[in-house]
Amino acid sequence: MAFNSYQFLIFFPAVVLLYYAISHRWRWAWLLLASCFFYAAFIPVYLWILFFLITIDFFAALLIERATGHWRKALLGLSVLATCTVLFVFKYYDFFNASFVLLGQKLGLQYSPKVLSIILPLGLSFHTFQSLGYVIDVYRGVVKPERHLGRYALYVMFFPQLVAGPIERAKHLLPQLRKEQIFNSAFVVDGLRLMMWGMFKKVVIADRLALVVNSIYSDPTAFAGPSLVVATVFFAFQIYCDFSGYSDIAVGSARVLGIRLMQNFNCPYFAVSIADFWHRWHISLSTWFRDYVYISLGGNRVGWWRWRINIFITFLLSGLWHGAHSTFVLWGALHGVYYIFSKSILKENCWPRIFKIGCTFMLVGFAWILFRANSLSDAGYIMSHLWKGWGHGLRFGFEAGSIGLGLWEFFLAVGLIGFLITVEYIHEKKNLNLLVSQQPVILRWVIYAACTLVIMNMGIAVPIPFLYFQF
Amino acid sequence: MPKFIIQLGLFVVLVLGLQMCIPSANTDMPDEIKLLDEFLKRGADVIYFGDSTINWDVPSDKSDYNSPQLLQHFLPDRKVARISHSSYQSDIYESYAKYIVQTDKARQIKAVIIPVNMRMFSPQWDRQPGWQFEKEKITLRIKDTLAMKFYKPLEVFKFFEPRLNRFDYENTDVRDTDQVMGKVRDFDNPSYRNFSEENLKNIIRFHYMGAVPPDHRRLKALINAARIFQLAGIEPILYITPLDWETMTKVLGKRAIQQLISNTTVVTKALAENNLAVLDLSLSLHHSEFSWEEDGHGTYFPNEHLRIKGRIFVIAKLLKHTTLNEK
Repeated sequence: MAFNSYQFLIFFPAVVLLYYAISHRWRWAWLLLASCFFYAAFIPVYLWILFFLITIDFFAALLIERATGHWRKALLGLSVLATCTVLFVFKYYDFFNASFVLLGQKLGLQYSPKVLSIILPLGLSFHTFQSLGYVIDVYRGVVKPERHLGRYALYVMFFPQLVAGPIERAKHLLPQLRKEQIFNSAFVVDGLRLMMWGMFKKVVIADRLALVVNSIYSDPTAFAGPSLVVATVFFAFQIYCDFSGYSDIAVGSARVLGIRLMQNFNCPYFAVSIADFWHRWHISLSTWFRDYVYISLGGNRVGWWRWRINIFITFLLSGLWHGAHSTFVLWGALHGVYYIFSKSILKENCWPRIFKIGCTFMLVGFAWILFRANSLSDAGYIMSHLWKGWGHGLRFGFEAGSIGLGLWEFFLAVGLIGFLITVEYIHEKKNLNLLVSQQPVILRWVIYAACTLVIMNMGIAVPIPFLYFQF
Repeated sequence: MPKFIIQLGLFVVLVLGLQMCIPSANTDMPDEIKLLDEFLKRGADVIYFGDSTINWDVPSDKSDYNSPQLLQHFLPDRKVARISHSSYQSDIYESYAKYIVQTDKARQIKAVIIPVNMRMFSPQWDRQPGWQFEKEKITLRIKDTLAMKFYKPLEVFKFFEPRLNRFDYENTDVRDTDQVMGKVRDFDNPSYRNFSEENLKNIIRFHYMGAVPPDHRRLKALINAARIFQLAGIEPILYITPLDWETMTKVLGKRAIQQLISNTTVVTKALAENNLAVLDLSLSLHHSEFSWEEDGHGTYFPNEHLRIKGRIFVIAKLLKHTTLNEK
């Protein structure tokens, strides 16, 4: 079930109440049951994929611990192969086949594979990576394998982070699942506050911006430069509010249950360089790639060229992780080029901070075009027409309603972006959560009530799924 | 913990109380429901329900009169109202029936016309998530209650979303007569609407060739809708919409007609068992009266859309075989 659904508004309080009411001995079972129910609300049959992965990796980890020499490596290889096969079949099979068909056509070869057209299991890339990380950590001796199958299953399936992360690490999450969590109202309020802010970002800001982005990106050739720029800037904020909104709700709901999940975002649009951006954006994934791919490739303890190749491969894989489409691969590749270029050539401290923030945002925003465009040709059109058609001024086509929002709604969307930037700016200087919690109780209640009412009445009703659900 | 729960409860009560003070946002209601209220206010006495077959027009037609407009033309003394939407089906008619009977206390509505499109029994229509009209059905149910104060929040938190999802739809069996010939995903896929003899054959099998069981949920809903009107003293006028049987025969042979007759017989019989009559127009028009080949949008989608001549034919039949002409 989606966080922004009425089902979750009923499900979550019920889970929390019973969680604190029962003995610690049974809490893992209750959370596991709740997580199964949460996942089954999407497509119940896909639970079997999760059970399969959990069983394989649970026993693989136990065997790896006992094995020695080449057996350890072989067992790790088998576990990684099983997980990656599941990922490949469900996510990449059709993409690679379509690529081979294209290649075959170019070479004059006939190749017509069966198209699977499977609906991608929700969050497959997230929980497979979490599972992979666990097995690799056991292999590396970073963590001891979990001996309780149920608790390990909960580590993979813990519902707040099951379908879109954060991609947790075993050494961080497993001990928390073992430990008894005592009800702490300050901790619960902290979690609820985070959930509220996440919901605000998703249903009030992201979904509103999505109306413009979707209408322009669905047929970019019908629009000139100004509209394309608006859509691209809006998308940068849409994807941020959408995904960080999801992460906030995930982290917040886990916190209500007494569990701390890792932070996934840290004001990414205040980044002063591409490297800084990747320290602030989807932190759980970028650190995963750093720890399990980049470092495995040799990291920076290699020669000048090899180091650059390692970075490029890591970004390329990160692009492919996002989606089985050439646009995502190119998006990853572009970030790889940005990263190498910024590390190699640019001196980070020679420009004013605001300039560096602006430049980084523009580079990131430009790359988002590849991420969002429906096809490579659409992306090419948008990239080549951003600068065209400005002669007529800012004609956004409000009169025809062609950009998805009326004039008033459009300026409201711009205002909300301004509001978001202000809040993030304050948060950069001072922890906003702490700031709010230090206010008098009346003021806090006014803030909470106002925010809740705004979500309830200014949220967008058009069903727009969380963007990262597709990965 | 109890203290915290009390505080949280108080907060929820505060928010709900404040929400009650915010004016109802009924502007987000489906247009058809707003239109129905308007018609009821203006004293309409015939309601013509329908899907796209009653108002689809193509460029080569000289007139774009929809079926209710044509009926109004032939019945100038009556007030004909149109409540239609692409892919409306019997489920939503049942909700409208309950609402109208409850709202129109003075019984100004004398008759309702309900077209029965045989395709609505196919998985392509019956199980399509976007064609479940949950929002309309729930709105009609809660419209005059306090729940309308929470209309917008309900919408934001996806209360009106269909219970069926794409996965359920794609995994529904597709039958040719009683034989399972695959899943929906084998038919409704990206190549589905491209022109080829094979695709045409598949589309027709997918849309019309499944046997309609007497307990089909859409048939039950149709009977319920008609019975609700009938019991309230509003005459339900039902007709089975014309189908392009010539194309179906050309592609699948005589067995297409046999299956079609078998399905319309199931519908007619089930309605008759409930004292409801239905005018069967399924085999009454030639291929030339259907407009689907001209529908365009780069798609190839055989359906029941009629040209103006076809629509006039249907109205003439309704006037001849029903009591609409009688004052």
